[in-house]
Amino acid sequence: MNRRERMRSFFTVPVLLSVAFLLAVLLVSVFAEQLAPHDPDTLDPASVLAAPSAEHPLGTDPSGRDLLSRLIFGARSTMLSAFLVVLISAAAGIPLGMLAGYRRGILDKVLMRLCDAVLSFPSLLLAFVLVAAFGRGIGNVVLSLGILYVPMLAKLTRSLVLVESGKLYVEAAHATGFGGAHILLREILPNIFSTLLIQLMLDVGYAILDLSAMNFIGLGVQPPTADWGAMLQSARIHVKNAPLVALSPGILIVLTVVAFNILGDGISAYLDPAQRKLPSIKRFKKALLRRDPDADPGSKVLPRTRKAGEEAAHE
Amino acid sequence: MSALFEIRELSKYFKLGTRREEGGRNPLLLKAVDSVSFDVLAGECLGIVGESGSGKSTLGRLLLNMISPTSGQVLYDGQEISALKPESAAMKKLRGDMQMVFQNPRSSFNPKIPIVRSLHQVARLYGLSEEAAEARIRELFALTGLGQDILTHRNDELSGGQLQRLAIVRALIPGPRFLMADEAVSALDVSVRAQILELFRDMQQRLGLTVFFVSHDLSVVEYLCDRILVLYLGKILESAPADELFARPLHPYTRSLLAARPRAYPEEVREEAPLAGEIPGAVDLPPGCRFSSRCPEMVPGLCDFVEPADTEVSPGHKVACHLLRHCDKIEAGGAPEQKGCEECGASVGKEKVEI
Repeated sequence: MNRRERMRSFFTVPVLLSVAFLLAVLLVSVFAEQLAPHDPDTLDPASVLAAPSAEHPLGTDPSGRDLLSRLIFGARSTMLSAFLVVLISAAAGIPLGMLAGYRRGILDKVLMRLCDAVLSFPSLLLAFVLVAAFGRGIGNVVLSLGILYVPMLAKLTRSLVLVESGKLYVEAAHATGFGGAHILLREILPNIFSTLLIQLMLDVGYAILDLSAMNFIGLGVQPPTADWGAMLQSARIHVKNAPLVALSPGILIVLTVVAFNILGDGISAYLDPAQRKLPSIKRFKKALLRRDPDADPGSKVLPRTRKAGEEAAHE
Repeated sequence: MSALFEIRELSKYFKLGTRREEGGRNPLLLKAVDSVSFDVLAGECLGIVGESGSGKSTLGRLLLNMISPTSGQVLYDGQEISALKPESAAMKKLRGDMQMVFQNPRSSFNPKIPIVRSLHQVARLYGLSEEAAEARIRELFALTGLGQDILTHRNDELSGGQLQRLAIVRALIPGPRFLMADEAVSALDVSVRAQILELFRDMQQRLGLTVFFVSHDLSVVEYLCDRILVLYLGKILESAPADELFARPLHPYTRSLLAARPRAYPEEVREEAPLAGEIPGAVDLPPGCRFSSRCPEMVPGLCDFVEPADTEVSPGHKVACHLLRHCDKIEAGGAPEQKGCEECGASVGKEKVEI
């Protein structure tokens, strides 16, 4: 499988759409100050729950704040905290998992039983407990979720390291005279990195969901800070008379999570193109062409078999 | 010749679990290598043959102290390396002296690291500067008959033969005295195999290497090795200089192995039937001689009760078999008769009564 074929199997329509969407969200959250038409926290009691207008492109929320501006700043809060959660869990989980998988023995046993203990609780419930111990606030929520994401990542890393440790190249490195640090970081890590990356992508999605839940309950960001989860909470009672205000943060959460999932899928398709087949650009174009009856009148008769034949000829 | 490695009563048992028996729970042990003693002489090529499951690879790894033995010692240059932890700094320092080439060259290289880089990493590990590494790799490429352009290729574009040469280069970068080849030609095409064997012989002579060649292929060790050990279920059944072993195989196991070899003229009548059955597991060893369960010449009451001791039938030729104990013919240096020795069989029968 050469690089070009791999790239082709990576750049599929859903993956491209996801990448575009995530890039947009990322850019918006970086340049929130420049892009937002209003200050997200300025109250305007005169126009509460206003309909979309030139002044307020998406209308205003129950406190009269500009909805678009709040969504833009909410993107920043949501993305930043989700990335931080994943960063914390990766910084702890990957090294612990690698050590446990490579050294085995008592360290491995203790660490894995600890992970099992954490995993045996519903994660959000445990997050409540941790936040109750640390105190409210987005910082503590991020820290708690970061800690809770460690066990899964550590277990995954450990199992990947276990598989790699049994391979001949690791034994060869050992026989050559390399030490444990070199073998773990320079030999094994490059081989498990891509799988970990996929998991981290998925984790960002989960983190956004969990963070939104925590913020929805009010344990995380405190008013007036804009955040998608918190916005969902404050607008939820107005879903009948101002559906846009109530639904837009929820829709953004869903889209972002789905986009991260598809991106994770795309990466794994890049790594193992035989396994997954999302519609590629080429096939998409072909399908469009085929729908035009003038372009290919014969296609109406036997579209399926024809398509299969063409595919085979191309691949 | 002096001994580079001295192996003394070396054993490696793997614990598979525990088994409930009368008299309590006993550990379930796989005796991969069981009280083996021999020397590896400096500058020789020592071959070790045996079926799969005979403990060849475990023995090789014990020699390099990649795994710690259950009991016994490995002395390298008089130093007891088996007392060092496999990962210890002192052992790492010695690894440059003793390198290894594996069976499957493709999987012995990291798939994610270009081979050039891994060769340079090895050079750096052994304290070579960037230029010195470059020069050393160039020199070894010339020695092993590899073109310099090979390093521009990706790992998966190289053939098995090229990769095995590169594996040999990697093993030679530290300038070892001892090279262990674990089935190093078994995964290669026959044509490539001959080239790599030639390369091993060439390297051994030119660099004065001591080679420990693990193989299941008798033809390969016959071609390459000065001395051969025949291993069966973790025990050495026969050891002899190569020409002696092939001219005068004494152990029934060695004889069946030789009989099982493919021949150039298959229509020739086989003198001895190749061995039937599979090698038994190393967990429940047959009592007495461990070959007794498959031996065509097994003497009931003796072979399946008493483990035979080594008999040195001629200088450097040791055999662990009851049948050779009292054979005058063999002690006089003659060849044994075809189906063992009639006289021996008789004397063995008498000995049985004494036991």
